Amino acid sequence: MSPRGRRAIWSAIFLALFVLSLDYWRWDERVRFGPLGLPSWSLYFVALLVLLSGAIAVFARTDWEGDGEEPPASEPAP
Amino acid sequence: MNYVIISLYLAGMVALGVAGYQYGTKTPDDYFLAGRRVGALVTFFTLIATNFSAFFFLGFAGAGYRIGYSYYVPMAFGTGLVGVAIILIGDRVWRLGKRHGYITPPELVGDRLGSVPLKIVFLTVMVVFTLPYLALQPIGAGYLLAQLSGGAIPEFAGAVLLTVIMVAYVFLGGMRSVALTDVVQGAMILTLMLLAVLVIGHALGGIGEANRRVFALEPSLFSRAGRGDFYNARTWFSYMILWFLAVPMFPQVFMRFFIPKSSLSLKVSASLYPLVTAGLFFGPVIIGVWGHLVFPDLAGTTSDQILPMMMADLAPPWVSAFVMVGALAAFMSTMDSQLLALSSMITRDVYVSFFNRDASVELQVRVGRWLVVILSLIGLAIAYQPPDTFFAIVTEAFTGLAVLFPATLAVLYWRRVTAAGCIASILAGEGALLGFRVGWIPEALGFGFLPLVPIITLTTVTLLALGRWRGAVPEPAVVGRPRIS
Repeated sequence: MSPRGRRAIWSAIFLALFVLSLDYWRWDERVRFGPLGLPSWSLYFVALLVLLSGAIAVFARTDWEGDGEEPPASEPAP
Repeated sequence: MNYVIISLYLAGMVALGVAGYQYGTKTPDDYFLAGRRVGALVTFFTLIATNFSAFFFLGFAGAGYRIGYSYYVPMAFGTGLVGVAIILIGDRVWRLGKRHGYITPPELVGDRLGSVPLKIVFLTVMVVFTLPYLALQPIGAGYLLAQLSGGAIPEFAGAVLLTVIMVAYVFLGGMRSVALTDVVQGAMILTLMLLAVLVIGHALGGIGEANRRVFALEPSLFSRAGRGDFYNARTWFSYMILWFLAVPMFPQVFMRFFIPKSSLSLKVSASLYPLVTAGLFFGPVIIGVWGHLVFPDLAGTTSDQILPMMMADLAPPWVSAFVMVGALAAFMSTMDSQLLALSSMITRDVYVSFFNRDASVELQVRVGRWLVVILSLIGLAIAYQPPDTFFAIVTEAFTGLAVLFPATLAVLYWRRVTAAGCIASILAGEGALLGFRVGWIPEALGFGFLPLVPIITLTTVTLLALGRWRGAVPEPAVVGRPRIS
């Protein structure tokens, strides 16, 4: 896959995680309790943040440019 | 006992400052950016310690008391998104800084488009929204020290003492000393907040038990929209994007993108950032929520003192002292970075750019050092009797700095960006912020969002409208840069 295609996929993944943080569909649900008596919806966000961290880590390993690599052509030349 | 803990902490900070000095601070690159040789662990700690101010200890707990658990989410997830901002902004800034020797954010932005006016506008916004923040920090630090000493050290005397110690290590070692102290301060913030939660939870019969008791007392603290329906769908969205846009534009954070030795430092920091906010941000919010069990009737901003009040009431004095020193560490780790960031910008973007283009590297470091002293004196003078306008500016600082985000992103990625577009975008955004603040723009034009959302929309549209849409994209000019090494 082209670098542009991979960038589009990663953008979609990060955008999806952001959209999942706007969980308006369950704002009126009755409060349930998770471990330590915390509201279960707060643990949903802990899970989202762990996913976000994992996504960034995978991106860093697979698609983040190395030290010596030039930035993509979109950067204005000095 | 409290004095021993405070003295040990402050002596440790000075010792680290001296250690930073001994590694050499002879060039602006070295003094302001630690020679761009900072490893992954230090980069990570300096990023979190710089960003997490005492507001994290005191303000979060106060908001947890007033709003409940829902306050955790926009703060933790919104700040966790800074990991994505590090990918988007941090990495590109690091590469450009390494290749072209940029030291300050205005230098990079102005130079990429060959525009001195853009550099001045960018610099002005960063200084206007950071200086009052810096000036108000000693007030909080003095308050904390007065609490720790049981009132024996008056607030202003405490502010002076802490500022003197901070100036000493920033003066001596610049970024290297600040980064070293950030590692210790960051570790203190992480561990002492955990300690506070465990000790208070234990005193209240266990974490689960404490939560069940609060729920029986005040169930709205567990509601999704927060107590008193604090959030609605639109304000929720606004808060979710606020930190992503604002945090990378804090000059003290932006400058940290220049300092890593390799991209590995940024990769590690970006990956760990959401994990830290996921765990750490629960701490003060939980303590704030539990505050209802012990102090049920706090009103207004009095609730911002809930964390020290809970510690004083439920924890052994020595634990309480340790945790409050953690809050002090959070204060100092933010203020020292702001001090250095402002000093570097005024040295490079004002003194060298406009008054002495041939300044030697030694002179630049000397000017930077004395600016640290002068800025701290200004901060103390203002802290002695802060004018109301300063509080207003601090309140709007996050949105004011977020206005810079679209222009920065465009400068880094968009080949059709123009300096005029960036300047117009920033001025339109700051003008709209002022308009919302003083009421020239009716609140209804925010459409239920925080002013941030219409303002960022306006800045983005302005930027795009004034892009170079026709013809070939010319190579940007490079403004001659002052010496760095």
